[in-house]
Amino acid sequence: MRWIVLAVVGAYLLVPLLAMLEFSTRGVGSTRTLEAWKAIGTFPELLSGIAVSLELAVLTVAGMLCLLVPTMVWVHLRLPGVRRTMEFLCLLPLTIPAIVLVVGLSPVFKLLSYFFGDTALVLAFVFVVLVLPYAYRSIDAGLRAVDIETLSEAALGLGASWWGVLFRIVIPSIRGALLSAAVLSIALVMGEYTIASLLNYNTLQVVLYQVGLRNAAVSVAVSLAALIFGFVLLFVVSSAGSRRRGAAREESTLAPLEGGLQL
Amino acid sequence: MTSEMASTGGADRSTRSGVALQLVELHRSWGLTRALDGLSLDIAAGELVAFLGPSGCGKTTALRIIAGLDDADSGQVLLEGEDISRLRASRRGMGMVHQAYSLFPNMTARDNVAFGLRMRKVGKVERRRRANDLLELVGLGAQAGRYPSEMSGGQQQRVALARALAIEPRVLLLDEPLSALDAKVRGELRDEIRRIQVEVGTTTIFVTHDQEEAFALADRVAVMNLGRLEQVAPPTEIYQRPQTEFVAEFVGLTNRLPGVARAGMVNVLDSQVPLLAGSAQSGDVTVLVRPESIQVTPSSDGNATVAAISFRGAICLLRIKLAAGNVVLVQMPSAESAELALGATVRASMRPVQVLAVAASHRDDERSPAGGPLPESPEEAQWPDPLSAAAESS
Repeated sequence: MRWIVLAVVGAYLLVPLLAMLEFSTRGVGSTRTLEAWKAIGTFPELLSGIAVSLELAVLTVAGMLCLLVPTMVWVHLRLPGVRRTMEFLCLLPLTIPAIVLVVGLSPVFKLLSYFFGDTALVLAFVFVVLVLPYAYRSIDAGLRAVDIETLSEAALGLGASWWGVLFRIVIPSIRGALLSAAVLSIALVMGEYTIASLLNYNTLQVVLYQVGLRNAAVSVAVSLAALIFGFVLLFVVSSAGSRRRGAAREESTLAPLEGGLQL
Repeated sequence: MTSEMASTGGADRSTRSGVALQLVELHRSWGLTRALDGLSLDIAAGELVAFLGPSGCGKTTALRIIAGLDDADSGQVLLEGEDISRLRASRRGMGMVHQAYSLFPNMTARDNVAFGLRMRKVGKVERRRRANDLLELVGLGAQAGRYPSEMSGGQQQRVALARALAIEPRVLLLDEPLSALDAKVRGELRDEIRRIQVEVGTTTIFVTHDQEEAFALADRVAVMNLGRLEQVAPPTEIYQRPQTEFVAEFVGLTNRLPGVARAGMVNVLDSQVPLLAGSAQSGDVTVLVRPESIQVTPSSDGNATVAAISFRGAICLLRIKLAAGNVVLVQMPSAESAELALGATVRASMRPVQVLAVAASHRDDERSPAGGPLPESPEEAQWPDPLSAAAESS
């Protein structure tokens, strides 16, 4: 039964990808060709779209973490009564249609363009808002999984400052949740089309659409490459946490030997 | 007892590296709930005092105020005469072991122990050496490289104890550190805490609702109720010479028997016994009597019948029914109970001990709490455990 379920789910996920691969390598007649893949480099706007989306992902993740983590930790520890309100505010973007967001944010973006110039990176401000529901859920689950109140009190009693508690205890304790929040944010930013398109910024998805109008095979090739790149990126990000812990364990195991040598 | 300063006493050990702690008229309220209502207590350097009381009596609140994790509405915490009431927790130099497992999950046992030293900017080599020494002290030298998730609850609490000791705390605060552990580990760790505390000599406060723990560990026990101190004294005195009705009933098992008091003596179970200080001195009273303070002998013209017997090895528990209808719990050496049989007529009298008497109240009409309901048959009798009765009742 388990294998049947796995096979069905695997097929559901893989068939579209295989179809994309088949379409992007389709040649004349029944031949196969990598022309569409080779042509990716001939669309400079594609490369710049990829770069912009990656930069936006980095800025969004950084903005989200800087905004959300200290606030949520503070609310968990000091203002538990505000938790419901914060949850409501963070989930609000889920209920607002993109077009409403764009209309509402237009004046804000005029101001942002005035200060930061005409760059697509200002989209990071709205993307931070967009990723709030997903990031909030993930970080909240992480904070609930560990007894953050007791841990912070223990650290304070041992002489740590509030920032020490945050950076030495809380963040390492919820690293998995932070990685999940980052992964979700990256996925959302890399796939976002509506807002960027309505505000006339050329992110990867917008450029893909434009290229697709001129050359469908290249557009599908880039989409597939972007998906594979996304998978690899998410795998690297999510495996970073476990590797760091493994390294820490190894260092700790070696410590007695070092201590012995020093003595 | 609320405004009166409970004086220092108890501990008399030569190894004293701790400091004296004074709590002066501490008050703390949340809305209409008074968590602390004028708590005052002197604790001597190197002394181990147990705060004992039921849930909600304010003992953890007191501990948190001492640690700096909560602020009192009024009152002072004095350390060696210096007021530290407004000092931040991170500056107080208190070592604390929490009830919940509080090891940092991202650190090994050694890193946990060394954390406080790291915050004090102790060099890496020195803090590693001290962490290893302390882990050896708590018997976990071989587990230094393990993460909390790889350790049992008892091991985690030992590491927490080592971590608290690593900073050479001025006062060690233990907030029910054994409550999450199973009985066997709890007993072992309790003895270990006492051994280490004697060895290190740190002034220590141990919060618990388990009287067995408090008695086994403490130089003095501070019994708390409704945010106030009921009595502060060495364990034997708390048990044998309770000053209040609450202490008598919270600690151990107590029978409530009717008596008549006069001139420092009380007539109970056809016996004259002296009254403890603080007792009601005249008229009809309720006498609070320990099960082992009652003597039972076979007698054809006795004043009670044996309702149930429970053999417990060295001791024997009896439920006897007095002529007046009261059911009374009696504890006696098994050797003395050999001649007693179920349904036998016996004479119950008092051993020559001091007892506490309180003014007779409506509760006198109730059955004695220690006696419990009279069983339909000996097999149906529910027997209390004399040692853990208070823990269960709380």
